[in-house]
Amino acid sequence: MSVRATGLVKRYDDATVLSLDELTIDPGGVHVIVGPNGSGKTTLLRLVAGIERPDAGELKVLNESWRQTRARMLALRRRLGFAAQKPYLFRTTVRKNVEYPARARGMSGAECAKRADAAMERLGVTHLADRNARTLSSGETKRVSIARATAVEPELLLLDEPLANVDVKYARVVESLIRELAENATTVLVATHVQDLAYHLSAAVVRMEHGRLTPPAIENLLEGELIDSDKEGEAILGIDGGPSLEIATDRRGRVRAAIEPKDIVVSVDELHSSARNHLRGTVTALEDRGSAVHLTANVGVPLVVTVTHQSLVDFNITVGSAVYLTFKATAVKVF
Amino acid sequence: MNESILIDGLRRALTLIVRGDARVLEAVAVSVWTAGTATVIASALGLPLAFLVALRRFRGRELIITMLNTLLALPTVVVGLFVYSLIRRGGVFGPFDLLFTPWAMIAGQVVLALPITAALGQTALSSLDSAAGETALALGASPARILTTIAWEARYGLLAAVAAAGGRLIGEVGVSMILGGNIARHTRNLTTAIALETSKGEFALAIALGMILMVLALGINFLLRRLQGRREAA
Repeated sequence: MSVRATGLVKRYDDATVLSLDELTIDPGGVHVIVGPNGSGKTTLLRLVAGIERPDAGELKVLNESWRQTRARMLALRRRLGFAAQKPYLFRTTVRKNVEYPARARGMSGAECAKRADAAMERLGVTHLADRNARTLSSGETKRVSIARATAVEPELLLLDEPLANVDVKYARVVESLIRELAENATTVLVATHVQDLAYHLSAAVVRMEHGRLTPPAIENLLEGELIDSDKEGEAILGIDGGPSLEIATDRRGRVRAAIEPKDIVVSVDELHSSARNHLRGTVTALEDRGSAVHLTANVGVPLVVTVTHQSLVDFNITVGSAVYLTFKATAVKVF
Repeated sequence: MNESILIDGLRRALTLIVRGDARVLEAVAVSVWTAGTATVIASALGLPLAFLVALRRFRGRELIITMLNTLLALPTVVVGLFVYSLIRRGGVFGPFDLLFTPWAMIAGQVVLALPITAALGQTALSSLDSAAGETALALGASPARILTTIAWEARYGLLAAVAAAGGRLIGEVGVSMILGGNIARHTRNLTTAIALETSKGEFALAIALGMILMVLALGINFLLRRLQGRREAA
């Protein structure tokens, strides 16, 4: 496991800012913690990075505990990379900042320079190499901090709000770097308050609120390939192992997408409407959620739909019923 | 009358400085040697203390901070008296025969400067963003490298603490007078020489010494201002 937290608690003064019953981050790939400001994401990353100590509970990082000898804690720290939400750059040049973790690991001057050059190149900060790091804009500071965190190819990379203050052009650069690292044996753990970014980066999203893990607010998360449609502004989304959908987007390639359960209409007969997607499927589950029912229908992939109790009675829908699911091309949100 | 003494004194003082008068040069040498050595020792002792107090939490920490801040305002004659009681014949350090030597002056000046390097150093380190040390830690730095990184980040503030100590020592008179005894060519520095020459009515020499002292003090304060400016800008 890259990270395993059990009963993890962190308090500041008397306020509990983090309380996780159970959290596991598998090795490899991109993992995202999403939640509003003050939800405990930063605290969690700081605990994982060994900057703070938990008040209770068990935390294992790369199968090691932070409760051990100084020498082993240092060895564990050197397997990690960390770029803070508000990065602190040392009062020296950008180059010296990016070289810092390599120097801390006792690498030769030539090796430090080589790694710093490569990392600065990737983040597009090579032209800033000789600048005083304290004179950079917030976006440049962020990119330098990510270059610094990635220069030593950590096994576990912790990025707190990596795209905050980064302009669109470099946001793409950072995103592709995150993917590239994740494909090359680095486990990347990202914290962000932007849900769209979370699902854009990964399907492995955990949600935090008030210091606790909460169920993801997103339903009907789909993955697939976007290909050209013959209609302007539209595309065909070929869902992995499922049907193809018509959706309104200019994007192409592999994406994640989601459909809000309330935007899907359930019917017994096929509807004739302006909605572009009509899928036939079978009801596999009905879950009472108080004022509404969550109906799950298998249309090749399971999709959740919210319906009223009355509708189920009126149309005599039960588990096993054949139904049509209808939704507009614009109801599909692409991340 | 007074003006003519001052102008006459200034003219003769410049002549003494330009000619390189031996009494002037000796006093400068004693001042620079004692204040410089004491500043180095007070920094070597005070800055580690500043690190300890700023970065560690332990019992008695608050007491040390309060004491250091109180000692900052200590009158020089009181420090002189205190050290005198230790190094006089019959005092704890009496057998070392330090009284009326440059080392006695240095000892007193260290006591005077230590609270300055420690207290101002501690302020400089405490005002440094805690993220500096955390960042070094998270980037895999060893404990020793974390300390040198913090020292580097707070360098302007730490140097300002050293400059402030040097500035205080170059201009102090109480410690030098009581512990050095104002012995020519031995313990007579700029400030004690000025006191003596003034009382003798040798205004020209006193003014010459005073001008040099002013230049030294101004130089140190100029350095101090620049360091503080850098610290605020960084």
